[in-house]
Amino acid sequence: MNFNLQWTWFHRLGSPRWFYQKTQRWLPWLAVATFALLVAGLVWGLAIAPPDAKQGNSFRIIYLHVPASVVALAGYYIMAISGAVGLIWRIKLSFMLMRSAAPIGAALTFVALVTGAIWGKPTWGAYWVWDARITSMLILLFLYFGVIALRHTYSNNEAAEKAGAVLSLVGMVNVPIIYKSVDWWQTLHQPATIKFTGAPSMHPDMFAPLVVMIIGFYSFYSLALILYTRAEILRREYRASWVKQLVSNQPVEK
Amino acid sequence: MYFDSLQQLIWMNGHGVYVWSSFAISAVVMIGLVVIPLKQKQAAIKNIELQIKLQASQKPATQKEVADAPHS
Repeated sequence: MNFNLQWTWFHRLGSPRWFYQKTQRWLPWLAVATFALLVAGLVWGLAIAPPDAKQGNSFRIIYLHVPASVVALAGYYIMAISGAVGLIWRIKLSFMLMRSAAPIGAALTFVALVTGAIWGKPTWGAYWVWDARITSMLILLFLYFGVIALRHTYSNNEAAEKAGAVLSLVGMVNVPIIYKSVDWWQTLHQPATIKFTGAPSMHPDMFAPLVVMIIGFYSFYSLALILYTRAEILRREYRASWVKQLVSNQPVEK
Repeated sequence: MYFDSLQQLIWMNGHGVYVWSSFAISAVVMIGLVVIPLKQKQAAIKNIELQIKLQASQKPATQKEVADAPHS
């Protein structure tokens, strides 16, 4: 009995209906916070912060490149952990989260690669080099593509979800490799600006807008993940009576 | 502001083209990440509405409707 009481929150968390109704209330606040953070961070980073002593103004790309990369990597963990939770506890919602995380992660990895390539031109003289960091990041993009593609390769939905979860879990090996690639190999890519231990290798005037942008990107990620998951819930739960009531504008009974 | 004029902010000593193209690409992708799920949601709602209509038209006639129907 006691056991049941403790686990009710967990099962409620796994209910698509509960997620859909809760996020309805969060969305406007999250959208406003995301927009405010991104605008503030960009104006600060692109117009107010001083230029880099060596790289000049091209360093300002950091305010898009680093947040996109950080969230693309964190997003992979979110996708893989959702997949694992789905596999272990057979929770429908966590598979929906896993599926929704894939296109967002792929898009942000793409942004990280493209902004990195553009930054490479004035800094290294080349758009693309087969450097450890960049190559491992490209593998991340293909892993995301793989999870997206697996959705359409099975006619059986459950099998597709399981395969997607297994691929995301296996691909997780790549994430620490990406983090550590600049230390393990001699790379053209500069070492990490933000470190888990020790001070950032950046002047506070440049670092502060970067922090704002990273928080802004995390906020954006949550917004996009919620929007994608809500669409997925409606697509998958079209037979549920609460969805029908919602669509036909009847009050949904609690 | 670090720059003296709007022109300088756009030009960025020759680096403007790199910085602003990165900005433009990121903006397009991120707007897409908000617009696409909203469109998917609209499409899903339309689908469900259609299904409800179909079900309503296929409902077997009620007893009253059978009684009221003209006898043939």
